[in-house]
Amino acid sequence: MGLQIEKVEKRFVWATIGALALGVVAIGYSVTEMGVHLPGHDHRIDPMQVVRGEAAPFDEPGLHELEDGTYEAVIVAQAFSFETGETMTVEDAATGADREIGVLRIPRGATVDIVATSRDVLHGMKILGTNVNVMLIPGHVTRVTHTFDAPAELQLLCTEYCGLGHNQMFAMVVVE
Amino acid sequence: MSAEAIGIQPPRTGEEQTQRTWLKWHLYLGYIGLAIGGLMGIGQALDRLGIDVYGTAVMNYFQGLTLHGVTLVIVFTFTFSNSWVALAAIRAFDRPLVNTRLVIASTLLSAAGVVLAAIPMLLGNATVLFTMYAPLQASFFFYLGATLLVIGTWVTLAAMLLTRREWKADNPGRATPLAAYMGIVTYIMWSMASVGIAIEMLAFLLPWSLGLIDTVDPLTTRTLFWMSGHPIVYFWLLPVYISWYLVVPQRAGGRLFSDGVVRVVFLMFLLLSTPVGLHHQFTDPGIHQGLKFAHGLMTFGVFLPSMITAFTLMAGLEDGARRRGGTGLVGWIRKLPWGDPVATGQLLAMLGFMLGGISGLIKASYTLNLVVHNTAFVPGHFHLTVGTAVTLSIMALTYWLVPHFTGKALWNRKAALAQVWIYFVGVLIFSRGQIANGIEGQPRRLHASGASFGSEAWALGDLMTGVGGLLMSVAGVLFFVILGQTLRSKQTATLEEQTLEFSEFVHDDRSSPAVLDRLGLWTAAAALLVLAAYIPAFIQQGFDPTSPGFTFF
Repeated sequence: MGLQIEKVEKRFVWATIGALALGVVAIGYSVTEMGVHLPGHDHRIDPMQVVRGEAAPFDEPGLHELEDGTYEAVIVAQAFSFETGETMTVEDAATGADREIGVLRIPRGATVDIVATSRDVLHGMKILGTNVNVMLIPGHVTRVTHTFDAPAELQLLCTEYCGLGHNQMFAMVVVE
Repeated sequence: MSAEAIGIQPPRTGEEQTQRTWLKWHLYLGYIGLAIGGLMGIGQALDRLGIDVYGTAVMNYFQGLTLHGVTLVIVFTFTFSNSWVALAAIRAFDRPLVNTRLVIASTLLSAAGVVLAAIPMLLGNATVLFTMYAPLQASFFFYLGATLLVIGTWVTLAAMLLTRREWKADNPGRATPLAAYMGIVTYIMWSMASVGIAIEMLAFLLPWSLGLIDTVDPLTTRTLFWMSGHPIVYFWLLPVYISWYLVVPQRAGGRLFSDGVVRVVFLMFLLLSTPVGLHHQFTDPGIHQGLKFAHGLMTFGVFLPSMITAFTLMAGLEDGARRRGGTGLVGWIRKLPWGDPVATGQLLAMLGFMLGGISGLIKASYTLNLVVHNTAFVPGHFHLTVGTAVTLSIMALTYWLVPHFTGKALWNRKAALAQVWIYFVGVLIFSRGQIANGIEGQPRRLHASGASFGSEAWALGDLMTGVGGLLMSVAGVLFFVILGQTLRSKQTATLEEQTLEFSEFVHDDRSSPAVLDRLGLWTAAAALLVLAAYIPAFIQQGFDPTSPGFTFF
């Protein structure tokens, strides 16, 4: 005998497939029309060379203006800080003490190619209030592009557990 | 319906009794996991309310979080499944498993795994969380313990497959009894999927933590982890689905429509659970976007069997409620067995799972995931799936399982009812807080009291997470009070209380196509899909072990 399935249930299955297909169309639209992109394969890098400061561009962390008017922001993550070429003093929310952390100062309206990696273990990097949300894996280069439209002071947080200091690991992005 | 005895009755032979004793202890091992993991959770809930017990106590927050994750999603879930699924198979085949030594071996492997993993976690030598991402390096014994827990599940599958072969020889041409079929397909799915974590352990983490190899490739180990780490969620869920299909509609007085549809649902999980793991790595470097998109698409496919399950179960429940006099478009819901803690807990678990499934679909959505990836949204989601659909169902099923195993009557039915409701309300508040904060960008795995950063937008979500978590803790304590009082009770359970009847079908197994029972064929098809999904992934990402181990804990 063939598979017994209720008529209403069959319709329900097709409706579910239709809803899922609609979801896939929406995702396609977000990629092709809204330009939301995920990081892909960039290139591999020896994390020990990053530690020794021998691997470009990670020998010079910080914001660099390129010839075509766009920017490249080079970030190196390590337990438990982000190296961004510049530092600023902030008050630590847990201890209340002053602390030096990395800062990226970005001109308003700049389109920035963010290039990052890790020196040691896995880290995450999320800039609050933006779609910049990526993993940093030693041995790999993470690359993602974002346009910073409005002036803001944004927290850049480590979002992957990296050790006991994980919740002290953050930097600032100042769009000015 | 067939004339065969269906359901789980008290044992008939000495061999079966021996096996049940081991299965009982295997289940109790899981309750130890639940107790430890739940205890850690109380500290996490307090942390969100600004009370930092981990800052002052004997262990740090992430050590507690490692214990919480490992004891709940590896120990508690695995041991429950090894016990419950084997028990259901014994009753479905109506014979003891082949052979008793395998049942004992599975229990002992789990116990050894728990002890080996627990010691380094308690000593602070394995504060790597349950995801154990290299190159954070834990103690060798932690990895060994996790490996033994996985091998214990393989032994359970071996016992069930041998029993099926014997049963097939005695019953030529007949379909595998449904309860056993569901359990075996679940375990085949998991055993195949766990090859990823087995390679991660045997080829990399175990020799690396022993010092036999110096370096690993963190993307390789991470990809292997998620090759098992996504299907593991169905290994948590499907043993509970067995109960949702076979126990809950029956207790509501309802029938299910088609035996064949249930088998198709489980085969869909066998085929689609594993070739989807890259959707956990959407934001990783080193993996081509096309591969991520393909895995994301397959993840949408695995949503389908859960939607069919939702429809089938609701239909079965409505059938029962209407037969018990329920009327109206939604009025029949009042006639569900709301006085029965075994059924009520699982009905609430199903409700929670609807929200869990939908929040999961959001995370599986290739681009939308960027908003919530690695945020508090993720624990908000999985406390509705593994933390509600699975955990609340297991707690509810306990109110039948323990009287079944011990012959003792459930201590207090009203307390058991209150327990499942408190847990349900608590987890809804908890997850609402986590999901809201995730959308506001709060990272997951956050020691809130010790964090150097923060946002005022997280205040309400933290409060809800804390209050909800404490309600879950109250329900957890009540669960162990009921369990303890039941075990101490001198009152014996009636035969009816010790027996679990299985749901009836309008169209039973005689109407199901024979091809559904060709498990070798379906396993081969599933294996091909896994190879198609992962061979390109591993070729594309390459292999270059350059990372030494770090112990930042």
